Amino acid sequence: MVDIQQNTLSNGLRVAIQPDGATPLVGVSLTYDVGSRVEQPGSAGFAHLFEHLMFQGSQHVPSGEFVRHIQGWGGEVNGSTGVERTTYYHSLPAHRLHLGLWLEADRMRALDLSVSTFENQRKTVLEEFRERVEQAPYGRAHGRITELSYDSFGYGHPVIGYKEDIERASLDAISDFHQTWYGPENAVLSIAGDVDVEETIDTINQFFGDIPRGHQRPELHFKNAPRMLPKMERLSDSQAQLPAVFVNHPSIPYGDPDFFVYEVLETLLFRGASSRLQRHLVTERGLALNLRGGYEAHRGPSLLSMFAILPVGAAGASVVEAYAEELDRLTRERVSENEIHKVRNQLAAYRLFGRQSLINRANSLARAVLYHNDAHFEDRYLERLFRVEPDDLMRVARRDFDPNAAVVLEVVPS
Amino acid sequence: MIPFPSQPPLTGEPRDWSFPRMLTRDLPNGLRVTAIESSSLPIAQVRWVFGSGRIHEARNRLGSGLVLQRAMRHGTKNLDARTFAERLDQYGARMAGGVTIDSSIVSISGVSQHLWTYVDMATDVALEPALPKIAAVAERMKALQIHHHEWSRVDNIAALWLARSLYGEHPYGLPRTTLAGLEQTTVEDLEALHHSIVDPHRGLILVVGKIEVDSVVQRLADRFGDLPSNTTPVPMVPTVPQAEPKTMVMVSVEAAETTTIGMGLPAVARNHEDYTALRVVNQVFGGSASSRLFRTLRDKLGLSYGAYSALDSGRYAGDLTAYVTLDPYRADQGFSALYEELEVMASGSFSDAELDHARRFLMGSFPQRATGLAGLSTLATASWMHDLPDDVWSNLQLRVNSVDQGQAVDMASRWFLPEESTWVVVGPQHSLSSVEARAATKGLKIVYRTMKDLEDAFI
Repeated sequence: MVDIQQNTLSNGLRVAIQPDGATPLVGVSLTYDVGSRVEQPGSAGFAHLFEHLMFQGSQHVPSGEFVRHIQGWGGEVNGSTGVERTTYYHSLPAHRLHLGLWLEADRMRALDLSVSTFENQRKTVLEEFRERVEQAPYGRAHGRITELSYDSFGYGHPVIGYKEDIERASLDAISDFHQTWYGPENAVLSIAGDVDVEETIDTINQFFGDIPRGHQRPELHFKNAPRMLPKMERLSDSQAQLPAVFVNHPSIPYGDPDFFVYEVLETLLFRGASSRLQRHLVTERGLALNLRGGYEAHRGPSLLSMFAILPVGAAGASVVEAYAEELDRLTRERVSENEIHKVRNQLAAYRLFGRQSLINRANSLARAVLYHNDAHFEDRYLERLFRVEPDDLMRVARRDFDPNAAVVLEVVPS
Repeated sequence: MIPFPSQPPLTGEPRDWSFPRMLTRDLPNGLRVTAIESSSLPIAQVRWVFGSGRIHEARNRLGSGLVLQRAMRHGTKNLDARTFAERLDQYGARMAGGVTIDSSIVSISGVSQHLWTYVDMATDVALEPALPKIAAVAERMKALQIHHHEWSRVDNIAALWLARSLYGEHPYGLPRTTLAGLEQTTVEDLEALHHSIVDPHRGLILVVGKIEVDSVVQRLADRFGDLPSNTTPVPMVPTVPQAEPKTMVMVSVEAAETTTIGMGLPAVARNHEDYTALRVVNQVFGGSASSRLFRTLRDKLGLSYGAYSALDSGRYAGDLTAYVTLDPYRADQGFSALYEELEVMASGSFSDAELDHARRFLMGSFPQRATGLAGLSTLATASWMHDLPDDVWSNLQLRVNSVDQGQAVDMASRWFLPEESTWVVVGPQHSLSSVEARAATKGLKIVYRTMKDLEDAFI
């Protein structure tokens, strides 16, 4: 077991460190417990817009210099906004770890929010919206299936938000967003790589220890499961060349005892050329040209999602029906020992591939703390997956895979 | 308590790092065997590389390389597709590959314990793919969908036309697919293409991961030393024709929500002596998010989500390209900003600090590129493909660090030439018109084209 250190500073910042001296590099992740789920009607896209603003300067770091500092030592740097969290991550040569920590601390303690940088990033985000949503095939459909799949606004809108909300956003509202969600008590700092743990903890205390807590955060109330009503909708997409179909089923959140059952189901159904859906719907029957999906776990309502791109002129109904048959098969036929053994091998290997990147490892560590309150979650991950038995798969399938509970969105090229 | 520093902390010395141990042997049949000992994780990758690919495609079969790449996933002469896929997943392995103009690759990665099973499987796919007719037909249909998708997106259209403008009839100027080429591709074409590609004289087998390199190289040599060679010659590659300079190709796509502007210049092949210095100068220009293009077009002007340049150097030639995708109503501003940045580079008006930053980026990022199976495989493949010196990777940081301001300015003045640049603009007509007005002031010759023109060139 890797010797992971976890502690919490007096201001509430949670810290997790996983030393590994295999290469003289470090991966650092600062994950704030704020994602699109906290947004209200009229502020859709704020979390993502804010991710952009975090690179626009702080007290000691002029606009644009954050990236220059990291890349000046050959590091990789970026941010990512999701439904549940916003993550800022970078890699650096190990002897420049302090630089990365200093940069993160400076923008946590004194972000520089000016009108000019705000307006500039609003334009950039609108360009991103144009590229990723308006110009992208199925871009609008991805937003629409999200709206259809949840009954709460927090989960039921796209992470990138709505153009009109971004256009209407004010600097005051954004500043308030920062003060509410970007305090140390709402963040996890995680590090993986060639570090001296004691010295690193001292530095973290020096750089982050006196940052005051943020404003009182509103309590979030999300039901444990989405009250998804079965829906079917058709959407016309001028950017798509091929028809497509989305099918979503309600699933279970993080922390549920059957979390690992869904992890196994995801691989069994979707991952690898011999996975059930790939083999039956794509390779053998040719119903879909491309098919992907999986378990979208959240702390609130969660999904099992499927997205398929279809041949020219094909209707979504045949794929929807074939998918339902595969889910139904799980309720009737016990998965063989051979198949579950294969899935375990796949999951073990995929886990190893993911560990090649120190950034991945730092991000995984942050998620483990944030969602499971357990920095050692990753260490026990495989062991717990391997305890999932064929009977568990059948039990969960029978409980959750209600063919009448699906949300279906067909996309028709126009 | 120690106060928060107002300056970035930059104490500490770099820790020792060296390129992982790499062992190479050239076998009598021409096959190169390479092994790299790397990774603290128990994983490994085997990769077959052949030094030719779509260059063998007939002009009326453009797209057959893509179909072959996809059809090779449908089993081998020894294992049907279903059994092959099942076995791959049983071992938790992943297969990847591709057929480019200059190379054809099959690789399998997984846990190192099963390395020799992966070697067997990858060899089976690379040398004896089944290429069943039904798979060829199905994959040709999928390739047609990919073709329609690629030929409908403004950024892809820009890249297709820029390649055409830079390289003309040279293989690097040919589109990956054409409608006519795909429609005419048969299973016999795939077999012939595969036969042309697979030749140990132009081959590399590479193993990377948690392995013992001496024994791996020996075992690979024993196993593949008697592979027969192939008599199919690589077609003669014409020299790159002189691109018509100062030309701007306009392609009107009325339904587009964005406009893409592309700029291209001839550059150098991968093994050219200017390559490293030019790479450093490109880093100043647009190689990353801290380069001039990104900082000006995104950070300063808020014109686009991203703006980058790339030095793309193949076996026979290379090019320097830059792209920006943006709001059609701001396309003229995007063009002006991109052109001005090109002029800054040509005049050598970038600072010592920018050059220093570029050097440090390339030196500092190298250990990350050389970590992990995919990164190491890519480096070893490039080394073999381009016949680079044995010490290319162990000395890379030294060579980057030796590029001084004088050399960088000289490189920029020789290669970043606005008067030799070729441009492409793809988007709604109103955006083309707005760019056209500004392009005229730079003396660019405007040529309107359609995608049908590109398709017709290969019928």
